[in-house]
Amino acid sequence: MTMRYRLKADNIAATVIDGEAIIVNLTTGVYYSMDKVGAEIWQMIEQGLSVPRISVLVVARYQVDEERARTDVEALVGKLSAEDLISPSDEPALAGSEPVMAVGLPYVTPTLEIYRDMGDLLALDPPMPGLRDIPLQSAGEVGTQ
Amino acid sequence: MTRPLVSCIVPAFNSSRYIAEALDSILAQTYPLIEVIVADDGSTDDTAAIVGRYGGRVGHVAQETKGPAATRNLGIAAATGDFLAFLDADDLWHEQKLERQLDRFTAKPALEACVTHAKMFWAESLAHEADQYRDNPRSNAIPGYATTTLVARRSLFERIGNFREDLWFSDATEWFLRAREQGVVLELMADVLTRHRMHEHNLTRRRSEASKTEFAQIVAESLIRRRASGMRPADS
Repeated sequence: MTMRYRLKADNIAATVIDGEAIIVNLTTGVYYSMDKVGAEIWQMIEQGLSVPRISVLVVARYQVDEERARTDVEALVGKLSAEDLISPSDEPALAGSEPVMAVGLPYVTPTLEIYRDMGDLLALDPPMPGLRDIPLQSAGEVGTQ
Repeated sequence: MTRPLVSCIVPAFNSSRYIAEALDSILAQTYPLIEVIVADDGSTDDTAAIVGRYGGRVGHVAQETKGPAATRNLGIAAATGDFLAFLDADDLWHEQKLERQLDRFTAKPALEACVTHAKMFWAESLAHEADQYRDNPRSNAIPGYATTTLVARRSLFERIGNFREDLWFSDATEWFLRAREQGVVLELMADVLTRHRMHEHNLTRRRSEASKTEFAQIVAESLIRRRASGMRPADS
C-alpha cells in the first residue's frame, strides 16, 4: 500500500481536543472522531510520517505487537482514504516531526467513528472546498477589514 | 387574523457596495408587515449614509466593532417583532421569501424556525470562479442552514439563546447545532428564496484556515454535548 499520505486540507476541517481528533468533511458535512491511538495516528499522518514508520512508533508507545499494529494502522489509513480525508503523498516528512512519547501504554484498536446526522446542517456555512484565497490587494479596491 | 410583525435584521460592516441591493430586496417583500433594522458593526465607510437615504423605512443601530455574531445580537435587541429574519448585507431575498415562510408558521403553529434553500451567485468580478464551480454540487440550490434564510420566532431565541459572540465565522452553524440539540421544530423549505453572493471579501474566504479551525471546534463541542446525552455514531 502507499507509504505516505497527507491530509486533504482543502476538503476538511479538523481539530484535536483532549486527545480526540474531530474531522469534518466539508463537502458532505459528515464528521468523524478518533480517540487516543487513532488521534495520534492522525497527527502522525499530518506530520508526513510514512505508514511503516507510524506502525513502528505505535509499537514503541503501546503494548502491542508489530503485526497487529501494522494491520490496524493500514486498516485505519484505508478507511480515512476511503472517506476522502487523506490522499497519497510524495512529500517528505516535516523536519523534526517525530513525536517524543511515553511508552508502554495499554493498546486499544484505533477506530474511525462516523457521524452522518448533521450533514444537511453543515453544508452551507463552511468554506467552499478548494476555494482559492484572493489577496485583498488584487481585488482592485480597498479591503473591508 | 392579524399578521405578525417580522423584524428584518441586516448585520453590516463596511457594506456600502451591496447593502442597497439587500435593503431593496427586503423592501420589495410581498409580506406586508415588516420592520427593517441595519445593525452596524462600526462601519467606517458610508454604510450609515446609504441607510440614511431610506429614511424612516430602515432603522440603524450601531456599535463599536465586535464581530458578526455580536452584530446580529445587536439587531435582535433592537427588534420588536415576534418573528426575526436576517439578511447579510451582500445577499438577496426572493420577493416572496417572508410571505412563503410565514405561511408555513400559519399552517404549522408548533413551528419555531423555518429555513429555505439558497443558491450562490458570483459577483461580476469573479466570473472566472463562477465557471470553475459550475459543476460543483454547491453551485446548485443547497439547504440554507444559515441566518440569511432563517425566519424564527423570537421565543426560540429566548429558549436556546442568541448567537455566540466569541465565534467569528461559525456562529450561525453553532446556533443551528444548538437548536437541533434542544429539539427545535424546524422546517426546511424546498423553495430557493435566498441568493448568497460570492465576492472577493466573503469573510470565510479571507481567513479560511481560522474559519475551518473554529468550525471543527464547534462541531467537536456539539458532539461532546450530544455524546454526553447518549448519542452514538452511525458506524465505525
